[in-house]
Amino acid sequence: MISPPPREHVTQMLVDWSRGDPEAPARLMPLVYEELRQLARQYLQRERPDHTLQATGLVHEAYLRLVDQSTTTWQNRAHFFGVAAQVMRRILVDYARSHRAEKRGGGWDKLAFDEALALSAERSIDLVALDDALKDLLAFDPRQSQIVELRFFGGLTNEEIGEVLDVSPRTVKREWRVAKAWLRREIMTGEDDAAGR
Amino acid sequence: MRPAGERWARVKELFEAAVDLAPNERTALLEKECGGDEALRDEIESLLKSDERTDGFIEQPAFAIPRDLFPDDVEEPFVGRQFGAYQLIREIGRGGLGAVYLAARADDEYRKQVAIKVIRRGLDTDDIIRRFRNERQILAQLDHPNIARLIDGGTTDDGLPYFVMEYVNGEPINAYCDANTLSTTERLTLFRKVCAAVTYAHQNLVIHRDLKPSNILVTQEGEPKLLDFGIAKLLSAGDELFTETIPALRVMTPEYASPEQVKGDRIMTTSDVYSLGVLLYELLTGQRPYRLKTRTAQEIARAITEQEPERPSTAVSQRPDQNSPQSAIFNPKSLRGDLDNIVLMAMRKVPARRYASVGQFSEDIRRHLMGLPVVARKDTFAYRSSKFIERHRLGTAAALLILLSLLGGIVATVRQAHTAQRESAKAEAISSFLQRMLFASNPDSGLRKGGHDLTVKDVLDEASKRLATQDLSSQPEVKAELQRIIGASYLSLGQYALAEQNLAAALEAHQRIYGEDNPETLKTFVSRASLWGGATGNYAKADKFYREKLPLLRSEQRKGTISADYLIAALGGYALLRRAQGDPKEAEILLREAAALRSQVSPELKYDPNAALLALTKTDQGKFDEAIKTVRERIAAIRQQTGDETPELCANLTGLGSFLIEKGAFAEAEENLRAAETIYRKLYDASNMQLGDNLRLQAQAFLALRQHAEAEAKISTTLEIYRAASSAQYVNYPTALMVQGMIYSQTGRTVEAEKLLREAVRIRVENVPETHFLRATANGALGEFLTTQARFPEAEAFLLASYQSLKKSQAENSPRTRLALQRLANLYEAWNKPDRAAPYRALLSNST
Repeated sequence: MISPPPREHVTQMLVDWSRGDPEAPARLMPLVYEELRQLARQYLQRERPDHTLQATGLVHEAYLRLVDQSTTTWQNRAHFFGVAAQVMRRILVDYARSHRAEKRGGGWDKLAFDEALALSAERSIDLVALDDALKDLLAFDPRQSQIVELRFFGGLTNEEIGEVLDVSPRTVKREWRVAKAWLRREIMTGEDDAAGR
Repeated sequence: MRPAGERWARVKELFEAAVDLAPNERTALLEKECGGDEALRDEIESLLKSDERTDGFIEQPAFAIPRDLFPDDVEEPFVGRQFGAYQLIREIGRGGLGAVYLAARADDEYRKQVAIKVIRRGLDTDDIIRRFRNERQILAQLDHPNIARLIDGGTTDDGLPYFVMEYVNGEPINAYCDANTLSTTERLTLFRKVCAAVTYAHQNLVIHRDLKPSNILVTQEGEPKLLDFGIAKLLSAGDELFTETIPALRVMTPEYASPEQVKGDRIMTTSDVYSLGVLLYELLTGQRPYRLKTRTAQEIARAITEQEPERPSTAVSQRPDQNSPQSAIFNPKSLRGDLDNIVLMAMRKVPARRYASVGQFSEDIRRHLMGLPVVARKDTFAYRSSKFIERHRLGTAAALLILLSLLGGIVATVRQAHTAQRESAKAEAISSFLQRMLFASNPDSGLRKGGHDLTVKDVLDEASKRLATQDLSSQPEVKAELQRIIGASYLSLGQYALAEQNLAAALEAHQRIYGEDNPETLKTFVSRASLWGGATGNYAKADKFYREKLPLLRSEQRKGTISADYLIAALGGYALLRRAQGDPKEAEILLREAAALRSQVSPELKYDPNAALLALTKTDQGKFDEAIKTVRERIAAIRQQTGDETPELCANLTGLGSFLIEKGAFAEAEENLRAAETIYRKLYDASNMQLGDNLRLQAQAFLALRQHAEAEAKISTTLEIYRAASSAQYVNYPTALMVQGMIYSQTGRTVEAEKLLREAVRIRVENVPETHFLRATANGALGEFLTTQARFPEAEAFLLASYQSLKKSQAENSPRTRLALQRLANLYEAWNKPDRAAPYRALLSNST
C-alpha cells in the first residue's frame, strides 16, 4: 500500500481549489498537518537539541516539499500558506489548551505554554486567549484576523502576506498595527489590572 | 468590545491618523474628530496606549516546536513482534527514515543481539527492496572490525522494508569525545580509525554517503563502529529523487551532505571525504561549520554549496564560552595552520580539489601528529576569489532585469540607426536570442543550477556558450552585437579576461562589417578602451584610441547616431587614463565636459560615476580643500537622494578618506574609510578591488597612527585582493607594496622592506612619466627608508628627485610637497648637515 507522492497530490488540490473545488481546503488540511508533523519530528530528532525550530522555517519548508512550484500560481501559493498558517494555529492552540487543562490547579497558568515553547517575546502569551480574541476579530475584520494568523502562526513577512492576500505590504503593515493594538488590549487588560497597575 | 462595521472603520481611520503624531497633536486631532463621542475617543485612546507598549507582543512568530507537540503515535506496536528470525525487544533510536530496534534471534540459539532498522512508510518501498537485493552481496562482504555488519534485510508483513545489522552498544563519536574530554590528539587518533574503516569500504566499492556522528558510535572500549554503510544508497539511488527541489536532503542529514549531494550530482568516494571533513571540524571545534539562521533545507543547501566555512581556529577563538572547561580542548593555537588547512581541504566545494581519498586525508593527519609537513595548503586566494562571481548570487529576477535593460538599450540605439529595416531585423534577432535564453529558465533548460537562482555571470556564461555553438554565420552583425553586450557586462562584473575576449571578437567583427569609423564600431571600441586604460593597463593603445576617435565620437553624438552615454563613458575613460599618465589637469577638463553633457541629456539622473574621479584629479593638482569640499557635498547628496548603501557612496567615502590621510587627519580618515568598508562588505564579496583600495587606505591611516599590527593586517588583505585579480599592472598595486614596505621598515624588517620599496619604484619607473606624482611618491618612500638605514647619499638622490618632481606637478602648499620637504630636512639632519637642512625647514615653516 504505497500512497501517491504527496507532492503531486497537494499541487493538484491547490489547482482544483483555484478552479473552484469547494472541498479542496478540507482535503488539503490533513496532508499539510501530516507534513508539518513529519518535518517537526525530523528536526527534533537531530543529534542535538541546541536549536529551536521556527514556525517560519517549518511552514516554508512544507511548502517547498509539498508544492511543485513550477506549475503553480501565486494564488495557489496564497491558498497553501493560508491553510498552513491555519493548521499551525490549530496545532499550537490545541497544545496550549491541553497543557492549560493539565496544569490548572487554580486559575490560569499562562507559563505552561511558555516553558515548552520558549517564546521569544519578552512575556508569555496566552495562546488560548489569543485564539479567542482572533475569533472575535474575525467577526468584524476578517482581513486583520487573517493577517495576524499568517504572520504569527505562519511566520510570513508583510511582503509575503501582501502577496497572499493580494494587497500592498503597506496595507498589511497598517492593518497589522491596528490589529496588534486591539488584540493586545483585549488580552492583556485583565492581566494589567490584576497586577494592580 | 466588538465595534460594528462602520464604527470600526472610523476607529481604524482615526487610529492611523493619530498614531504617528506627537502627544499634543494627537489630543488636538481627537478633540476635533471625535466631537462629543467620548466612547469613540476612549476606544482610540486605549488602542493608542496599547500600541505604545513595546513588550514585543506577538511581534515575533518565533516559537519553537515543543518536543511533545505531536503525540507519538506510530510504530510502537513493532516492539514484541517478530521479523524473520528476530524478535524486537525495544526501540533504541528514531530518525527521519524510521525507527531502530534492539532485537534478538527468536530461536534463541545464540541469543545474539542485533539492531533492526525499519524504514518508515512513504519512502519508495519497492525500489528499496530491489536495490537491497542488488547490493546485499557487496554489503554483506564488508568485514571490518570498525564497521557494523549488515546481516539481513526484508519486508515486514505490512510491506515496510527493514535491515538487520550488528548491534553496537556505544555513543555517537562527538558525544563520546566530549564526555571523555578527549584531547585534540586523542580525537585525531580516534578519527583516523574511522578513516581506516571508510577506506576499507571504499576499497570494496562501497561509499557510505551518510557519515555523521549518529552513524559513528564508539564502544566502551573506545573502538569506533560505523553504522549504516551503504544504506543511504539503498534508500536514495532512484533517479526520481533527484527531481526534488533539494534531492539529497530528504535522506541525508543535511549538514554533513557534500555540495555534490545537495546538487544531485554524482557521488564519489570524495563525497565521504567531505562528510568526514565536516565531522572532524565538529570534533575539533565543538561546532558545525556553517552559521545558519533559519535552518531551512534551502538555507542549509545554500550554505553547503556557497558558504566558505570559517577556519576551525577562528571558530574556536570566537566561542562565547571562553572560560568553560571545554575551551581547554578546543584550542585555537593547536588548530591554526596544519589542522585548519587539513580540515578545510577535506571540505572543499569542488570534489577534485579535496584529498583524492580518505587514505590521503588520514595520512595527512598522521603527518601532522608526527610533526611532519602536511600536504594540505591554505586554499589559494586566487581560486577562492574566482569563485566570487559564482557565489555572488543575484536573484534570477535581478539577472533578467539587467539583461533586459541591456536589451532595451540596444533596441533604443538601433531605433536611431539609418538603415532602419536591416537594423530592426537585427534587433529582433537579438531580442529573440536573449529571450530564448532568459525565459527558458525553467528547470529543464539547464539554466537552473541545482535549484538555485542564477547569477548574472551564470547567464552570461550560458549566453556565450550558446553563442559559440549557434550558427549565426548568416547574421554576423547579430553575433557581434551579442558579443559586445556580453563583453561589456563582463567588464562591469570585473571579469576582465572574459571581457577582453568578447570585446576583441566583437570589435574585430564590427570593423570588418561596418568599417573603422562606423558608430557601431566606435561603441564597441569605447568599452574595450576603458578596459585598456583602467584594469589591464594598456595605456599606449588606449591613448591612441582616445586621441584618434574622441573627436569622431563627439560629432557622432551631436548627429544623434550614438547616445550620450557612450561619449560620457569615453570621456570618463580618457580622464582616468590621463590621470594615470600624470596629467590631472586635462583629466579634470574631460570630466567637466562629461558632467556638462550628463546634465544636458539627463538632468534627472542621480548617479554620477565621475564625481569621485573629479575630486581625485583635484588632489593630484594639490587642491585638497576643494576636493574634500566636493566629495563632502556629493556624499550629502547621495545620502539624501539614493540612500545609505550604494556603491557610489562607498567610492566617495573612500575618496574622502584618502584625501584626509594626505591632509594628516588620520583618525577622521579612518572613520570614513571604515564606514565605506562596512557598506562594501554588505554589497560585494570580499574580493572586490574597490574594497582592496579601501583597505589599503586604512593601512596607510594605521601606519601614520603607528598602529602597525592593524596596518599590516589591512595591507596584506589588500595585496591578496590585488594579486588575486592578477592586476600587477593595477595603478594602486605599487602603492600597496610601498605601504607594506613602510610598515616593514618601521617594524625592523629592513631587508624585506627595501625589496618592496624598490619594487614599487621599479614599477612606477616602467609605467609612468618622470613628472608623475606617483613616481615621486614611490621615490620619496624609498628615500625615507634609506635615511633610516643611514645610507644618506642614496637617500638624497631619491628624495631630491621626488621633491623636484612634486614641486612642478603639485600646488605650492600641497601636502605631498610638504611631505617631500620634511623628508629632505630629516635626511640632512640625520646626516649631520644642518646647513643643508635649513632651507627646507624654512620652506616648511613658510608654507604653514
